[in-house]
Amino acid sequence: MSLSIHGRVQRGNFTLDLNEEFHNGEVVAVVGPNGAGKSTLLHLVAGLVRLHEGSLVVNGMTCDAPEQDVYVQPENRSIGMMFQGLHLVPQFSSAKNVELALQARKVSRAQRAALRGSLLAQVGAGHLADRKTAGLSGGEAQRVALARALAGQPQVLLLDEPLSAIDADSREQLRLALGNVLTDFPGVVLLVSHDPTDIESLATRRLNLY
Amino acid sequence: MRRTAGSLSVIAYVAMSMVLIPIMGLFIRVPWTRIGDLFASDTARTAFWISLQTSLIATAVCLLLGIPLAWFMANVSSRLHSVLRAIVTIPVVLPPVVGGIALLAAVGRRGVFGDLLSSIGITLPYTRSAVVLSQVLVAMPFLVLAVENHFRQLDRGVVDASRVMGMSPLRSFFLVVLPMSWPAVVAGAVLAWARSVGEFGASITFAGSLRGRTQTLPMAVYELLENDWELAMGLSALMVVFAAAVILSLRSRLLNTSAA
Repeated sequence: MSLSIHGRVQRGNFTLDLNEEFHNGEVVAVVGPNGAGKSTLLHLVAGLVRLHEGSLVVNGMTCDAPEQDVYVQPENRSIGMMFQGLHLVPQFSSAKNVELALQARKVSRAQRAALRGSLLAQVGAGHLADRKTAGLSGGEAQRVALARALAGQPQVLLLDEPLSAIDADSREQLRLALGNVLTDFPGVVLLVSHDPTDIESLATRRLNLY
Repeated sequence: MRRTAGSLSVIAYVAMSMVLIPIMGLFIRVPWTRIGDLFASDTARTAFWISLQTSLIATAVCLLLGIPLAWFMANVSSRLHSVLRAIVTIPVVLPPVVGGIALLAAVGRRGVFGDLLSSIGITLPYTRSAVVLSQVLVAMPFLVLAVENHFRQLDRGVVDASRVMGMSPLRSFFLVVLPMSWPAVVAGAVLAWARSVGEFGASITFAGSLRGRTQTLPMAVYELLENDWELAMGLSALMVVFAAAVILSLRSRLLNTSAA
C-alpha cells in the first residue's frame, strides 16, 4: 500500500472525515458534489492543508500526524500536482515552467535541458516549449501543467480537474495523452473529475465523497 | 456628463496651473547663457556626484531590506499587516526634518545608541553614511508599498505549486516570486531613488550641508540661493528635467506592471 489517510480535516464549519487506503498503480477517481472536499483531499496529500487529527502516510513515511507532532512540508513530500487553476508562471515559457520543477528537485542544468523537452513531448506539448504560458489556450496550458506535475518523478500524482475548460476535440486528445501517462505511472493517482467519460476511460476505481 | 466635465475643466486648468506656473517661471528665469558655469561650478559638480553616490547606495539598501519586508507584510495576518503598514508609512507623512531629528536622537553622538556606536568606533552624524541613512528613511516606504501591493495581488497558487514541486519558501521566493515581480520592483526602486535624490530636510538635519562631504544637490541649490541666485535657478531647472525623465521612464514601467 502506498497512501493511507485516516483522520479528519477541519476548516471552519467544514469537516472531511477520511478512512482510505490507496495502492500503487491505482488511478482513483475522486467524485462528489461541489464542496464535498475533493480539492481539499488533494491539498491535504500535497501538504497545503493539514490534518486536524489522524495520520497521512505516503509509502511508509508519515507525512502528517498532528497527535505525534509530525508534519512534513510540501517540498519534502514526493508529490506531483496539477492544480485546478493550473498556476503556471505566466511570464515564463512552457519549457521554463517545466524546468522550475526540475530545478526544485535539484536536477543538474545539463539534465534539465534534456528532460524538459522530453517531458513536454510526452504530453504532446513539445511545440509549445518557447511560448510564454500567459498566451496559451486552456488545453495547451493544461498540457504544460501536466508535464510540470510529472517532472519531479513523484510517488503520488494529484490531478484536479485535468480536462476541464477545454473544447471537445482537444479534450479527446488530452485524454488520450493523459491515459498514456497514467498507464505508465507507478504510484497512486488521485483524479478529481466531474466527467463520466473521463472517469470511465482513465480511472481504475472511484472514491465517493459526500 | 460632458457638460459637467466642461464646467469642472476650468477648475482642472487652475489646478494644473498650480504646478505648471512655478515650473514655467523657473524655466523663464533660468539664465541659459550661464548654463556652462553650472557645469564648471565645483559646488554643483561635487554635489552632483555626492547625490548620485548616496542615492544609489540608499536605493540598494531599500531594495535589500525593503523587498523581504514587503514579502513579510504580504504574508502576515491582516491585523498585523495594518500595523506594519502604518509604521512603514510614517516617513511619508512626517516632515523630513523630523526624520532627521529622530535619527539624531537615535544614532546621533548623544543619541540613544550614540555611546554604543562610538565605543565600536562609529560616528554617524555629519558623514556621508548619515546622508544615506536619511535617504533610506524617507525613500523606503515608496519601495515597500509599491512592491507589497504587487505581492498581495500575486497568484498565490503559483507559490503553492512551487512548494509542492519541491521548493522551500526561500527558493520559491527567489525562483518564482521575484521573477514574477520585476516590473513592480523596478517601479518601486525608481520611486525610492527619485525620493532619495530629492531628500533635503532629514539629511540637512542629520548630515549637515558640508561641501564635498555631505552636500547633495538640493542642499547645494539651497546654499547657492544665497550667493549665486542665477546658478541656483539653473541647477533647479536641471532637477526638474531629471524629475520629468524619471516620470517618463516610470510611466512605461507602470504600464508593463498592469499588463503583467
